[in-house]
Amino acid sequence: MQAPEFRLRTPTPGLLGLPWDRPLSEWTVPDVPLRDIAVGPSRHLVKFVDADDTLWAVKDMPPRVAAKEYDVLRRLEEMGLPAVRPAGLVLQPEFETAILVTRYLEGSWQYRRLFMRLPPDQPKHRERLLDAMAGLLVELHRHGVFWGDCSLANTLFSRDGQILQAWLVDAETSEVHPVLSRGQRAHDLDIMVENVAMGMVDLAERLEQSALEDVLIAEAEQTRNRYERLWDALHAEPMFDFADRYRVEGTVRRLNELGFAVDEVALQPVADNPSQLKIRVAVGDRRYHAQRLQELTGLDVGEGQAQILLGDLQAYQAALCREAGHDVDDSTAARLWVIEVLTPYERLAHDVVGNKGTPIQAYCDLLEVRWLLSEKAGHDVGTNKALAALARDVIPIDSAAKLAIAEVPTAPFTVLRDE
Amino acid sequence: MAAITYKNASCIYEGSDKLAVDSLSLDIQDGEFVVLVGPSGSGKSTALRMLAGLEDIDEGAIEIGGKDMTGVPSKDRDIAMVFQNYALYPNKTVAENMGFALKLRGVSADERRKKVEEAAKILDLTEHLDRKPAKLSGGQRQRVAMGRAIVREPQVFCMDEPLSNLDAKLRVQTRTQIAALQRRLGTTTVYVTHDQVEAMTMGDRVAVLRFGKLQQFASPNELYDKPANAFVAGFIGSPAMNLVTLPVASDGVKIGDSTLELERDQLTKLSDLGLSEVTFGIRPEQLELTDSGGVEVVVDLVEDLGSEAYVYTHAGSGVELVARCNPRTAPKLADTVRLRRHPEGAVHLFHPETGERIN
Repeated sequence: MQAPEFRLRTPTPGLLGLPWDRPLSEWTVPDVPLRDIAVGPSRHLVKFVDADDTLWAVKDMPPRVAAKEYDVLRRLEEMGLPAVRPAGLVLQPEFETAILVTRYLEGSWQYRRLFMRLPPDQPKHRERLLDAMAGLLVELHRHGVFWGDCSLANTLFSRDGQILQAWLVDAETSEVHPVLSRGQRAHDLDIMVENVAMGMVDLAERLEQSALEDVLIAEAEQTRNRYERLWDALHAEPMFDFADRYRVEGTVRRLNELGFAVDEVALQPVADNPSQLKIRVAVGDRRYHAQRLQELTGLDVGEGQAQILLGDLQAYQAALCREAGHDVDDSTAARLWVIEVLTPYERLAHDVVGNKGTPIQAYCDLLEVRWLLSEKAGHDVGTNKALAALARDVIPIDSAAKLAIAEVPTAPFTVLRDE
Repeated sequence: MAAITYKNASCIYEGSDKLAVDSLSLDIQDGEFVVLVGPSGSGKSTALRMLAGLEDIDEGAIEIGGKDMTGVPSKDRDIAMVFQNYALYPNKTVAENMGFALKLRGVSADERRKKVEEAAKILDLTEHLDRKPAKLSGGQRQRVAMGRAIVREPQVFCMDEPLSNLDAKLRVQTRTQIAALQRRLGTTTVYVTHDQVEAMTMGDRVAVLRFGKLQQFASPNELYDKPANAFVAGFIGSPAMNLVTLPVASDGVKIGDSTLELERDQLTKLSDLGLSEVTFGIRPEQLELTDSGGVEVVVDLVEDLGSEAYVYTHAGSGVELVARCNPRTAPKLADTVRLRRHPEGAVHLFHPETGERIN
């Protein structure tokens, strides 16, 4: 027997102890601690293994393709992009194949799973999904990553405040370039629109909502506009007079509102009109609010969550100032907010949703429900009423809180589902 | 359907001082199946992507059907990238999976059904059209992916290493199907691979690239029989051609104390060029075992393939030679044997510095 060849990034005993000398197709329970996670049809055999209290996805592929995907995923990790993290590559020369190991993304779901549990026809939730897809593709493209097979099935979604965060989970066809050409971006976008449309239409069929097809196709086409709006906002190079240079602030603020930190702003005279300046902004990570919240509180949360929490913190600070009759500085307000508001209420919120998701997300859901109920009532309904609504799940159907979903079951199973 | 012309087309990668594709000129005829082959970094994929509109044409031009494609967006070039989009949708029928791109383009239901049925007939999928994809075999799923491109009836098919993510069995099966399908449809096809066996078995003509430059564009037979330079000679053929740089003697080339004889006109060319050394090439099947004469070698390995055997040897001077022989009469490991050129065997002579073909 020719022994397998390993490249493992976390050589834990459980992972090393898996039967790497056997083809993946022969891994079965109870010898191997497999977990049943429904995935869509895929080009290659994928199984999920529980080892050392971590869930791993293992995929059987031709060695050349596996090595390429492993390298691409490592590059995406280095660039901090939202993608599944590579954990190892095991070559099985005996079977002329390879197994790619990735760490399962906790707290993330297939789009089918998110939507199957909602009543049919949820335009607001679909909007969240499409924004997440467009946002992911923009992030990949501005880092020179060509996806090649962007689809809902190749993406996982996690909750982040009132938005969804999309994660690339299949990089088989992906390539990393220094910069993408316009043609490469356009082609990736075409693939995304077609696949997103087909993914939504397919789900509608499953939900017996085929009448929605035309609406879904039109919405999928809109993903292109969502992408382009975001791309243009990031790459705009507005020009104005030297005297109007204060307008830089507006450009930076717009980017910050979209969540992007600004690394550098360059103002350069326009070649054929030297009294005019052209602004070029070097955009950093999409963690502007997350970084600000971390600076103030030490909390490490998603950008979508941070936007909501900073809003809550600001409201708290304003109330504090009113109460005290003088200014309260940001860091004092932040410290008090964590102690008096966030800590007790995130625990309460997490309890009432049955410990689904993370406590911080449960608190974001509580804030959203409170805001929606107050809007409806025409006055602030207060936290306790919102908590009660969240507990009884009597919350608006298009609220982000409705996307709360139980964690992946980790019970072993006996038969692999063959889709 | 359309002819394709690359006219000194070049692509420069941003931040690189080297051309990814350097002044590529190719005339691809209407309906032809052309394979671009080369090692990693040869520019073959970039050349295909320039055609597909995914890479810029920085210099020169590419024409499809006589029209210059510079600046034309990918979607307006009437090409299809086959296999890139593999996703299959479990709740939709095979027919719906195949025809969905047409639906997005606003093609009527009747027209869609007609095109899907035509494609299914060619792909031998007719009986599966109304089934769900879960019931399909791996090979049938590949054919649905092909069907997606076929229903659009593009002028050109572009295929970028389409078989690389298939297992060995499916790869051979799909290879045959693609070649047969292309011949039936007659759609001009440009196919990229790093695998010279794939190139030689599929292409009407094969363009060999290296470091962004075209090395040779010819039929598989011509590439094999008359490689334009030492690179093509070594790249095409499996096992590879024996290629060694040897001193030139009055009657041939020297391997240690022995001589492999050359033809008179070959010797004349070498002498005209004033070469004291030459890169000498001979394919394994053009060498044979002999009792006397030729070159004395020691057997390092015998690869018995059943119908034929390859004998890997080295001569006293360190020169390594591979010869094909009958497996029934193959020598054994560590045997000392003699090899000579087959009486009608072709030899290939290349300039030792430029690598260009001499004979």
